[in-house]
Amino acid sequence: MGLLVTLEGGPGSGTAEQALLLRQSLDGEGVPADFVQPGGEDAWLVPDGQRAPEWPPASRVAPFLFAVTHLADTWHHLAAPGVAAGSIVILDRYRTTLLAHARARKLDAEWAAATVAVLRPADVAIYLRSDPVRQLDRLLRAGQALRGWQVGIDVGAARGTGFAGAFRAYQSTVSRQFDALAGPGRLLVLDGDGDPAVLQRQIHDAVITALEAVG
Amino acid sequence: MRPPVRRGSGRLIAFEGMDGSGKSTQSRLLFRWLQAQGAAVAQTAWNSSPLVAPAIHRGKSTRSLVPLTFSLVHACDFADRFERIILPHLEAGHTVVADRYVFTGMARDAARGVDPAWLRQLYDFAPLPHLTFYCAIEPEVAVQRLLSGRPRIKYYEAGLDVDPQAVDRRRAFVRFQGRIADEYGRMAKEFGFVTLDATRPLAEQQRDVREAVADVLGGLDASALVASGRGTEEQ
Repeated sequence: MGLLVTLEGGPGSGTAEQALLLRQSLDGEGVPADFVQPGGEDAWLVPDGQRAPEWPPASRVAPFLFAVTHLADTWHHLAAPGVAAGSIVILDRYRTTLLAHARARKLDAEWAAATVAVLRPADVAIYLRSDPVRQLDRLLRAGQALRGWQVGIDVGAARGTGFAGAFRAYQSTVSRQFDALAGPGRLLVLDGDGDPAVLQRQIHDAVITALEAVG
Repeated sequence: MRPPVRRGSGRLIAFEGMDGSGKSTQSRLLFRWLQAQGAAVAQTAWNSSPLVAPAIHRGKSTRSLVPLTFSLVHACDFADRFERIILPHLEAGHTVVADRYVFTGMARDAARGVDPAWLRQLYDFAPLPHLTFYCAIEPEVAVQRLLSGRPRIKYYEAGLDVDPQAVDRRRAFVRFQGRIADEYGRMAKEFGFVTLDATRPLAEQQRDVREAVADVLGGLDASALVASGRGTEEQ
C-alpha cells in the first residue's frame, strides 16, 4: 500500500508549489508519486468548459456538500488507485482545508467534521501556515484574480474593505480555524513563509518517515 | 434529525416511497388541492436543483458515481433546495409539499451500503417534516407500473452500480428496491411515517392524505372535496 499525503493551506500558501517539488524529489529517488489537484481538469463534477455552480449568497450547506462530493470523487477515481498500487499520492488540499473554510463560514463545526469523516483520512497531513498578506502577494504576483470564495464575499467579508482587505480579513479567520484543527497526530504545521528549500526538506522528511513506518 | 421548524409556523409535508409507488401523483394532487383551498403552498421535488443538476447528470451519464458520491451529490441537491426553497417558505409560514425528502437519500444510500448512522447525521441540518406519507408498494408492482410508461429501468434505479453482475435489469430492480423498502420500513417506525397502501385507488389514498393534512394545517375542509370526488386526478 502507498500513502496519501495532503498539503493543506489557504490560497497562495504554496501548497501546489510544494506538492510539485515533493513529487519531483520523490521521483528523483525512485519513489513512485502522483500529484493530484482536486480542482483540476479531471473532475467530473464541473463539466468541460464550465465553472463550479455560482451559489446564492445565503447558501452554506450546499457548497460545502458539493466540495465534499468533489473530494470523495477525487479520492475514489484519482487517488485511491495510486495508493492501492503502492504510490505516494499527493493531494493539493483536502479534508482539513475544507473544514477550515466550513468553520470560517459558520457552518456547524461538529456536523461538518462528522460529514467529512467519511473521506479517507490522509496518512500525512501538512498545513502550510502563511501570513494572509504573503498569500495575497503570491497570488497577485502569479497574476491570479481573486475569487469570491477566497475573499469571503459570500459571508460579507468584502463590505467596505475592498477585495484585498476582505481577503486578508477572511483568510485570517480561515487561518485561525486551521490552527484550531491542528493538534498532535492530526496535522503537521510548517511555516509556509519560510525558505522554500528548507520547507521542502521538512515535507520530504515527514513523508519518508511515514513511508518507513508503514514498511 | 431536528424537530420541525418553529419560526413562521410553516408546515412541511413529505411523500416517500420507491420509484413507481405513485408518490409524485399524490404529492401533486395535494399541492393542487392546497392551492385551490387558498393556502400559501410551495412544492419541491427530489433531484431538481438547477445548480447541482449538471454534476448529477454528468455522474450518472458516465456512470462514475460510486455509492458515496451518489449519496453526497444528492444530499447536495437537497441542501441547495432546502436553503433556497424549503426553509424560506417555512420561515414565511407557508406549507411546503416535498415529493421525496431526506428519507429518500437515507433509504437509497443505505441500500447501497452507506452507513445509516452517517446518513442520519449527514441530513441532520434538515428539520423533520410535520407529516411524512410513505407510499408502500411491492417492488414487483412498482416495476410493472414503471415499464408501462417507459421502455426500460434505469441503471441506478436498478442498483446496477452495486450489482454489476446482474443480467436482468428488472430482477435487479426488484432486488434493489426491496432493500430500499426494508430501509423505509425501519424508518417508518423511527420517524412516524403515515403509511399509504399504494395499490389502493388514487382517490382513496388522496382522501386519507387530505384528511391527515387538514388535521395538521387546520382551517381546511377535506371532507367536502373528497366526498364529491372533486380535486382528484387520474394517474
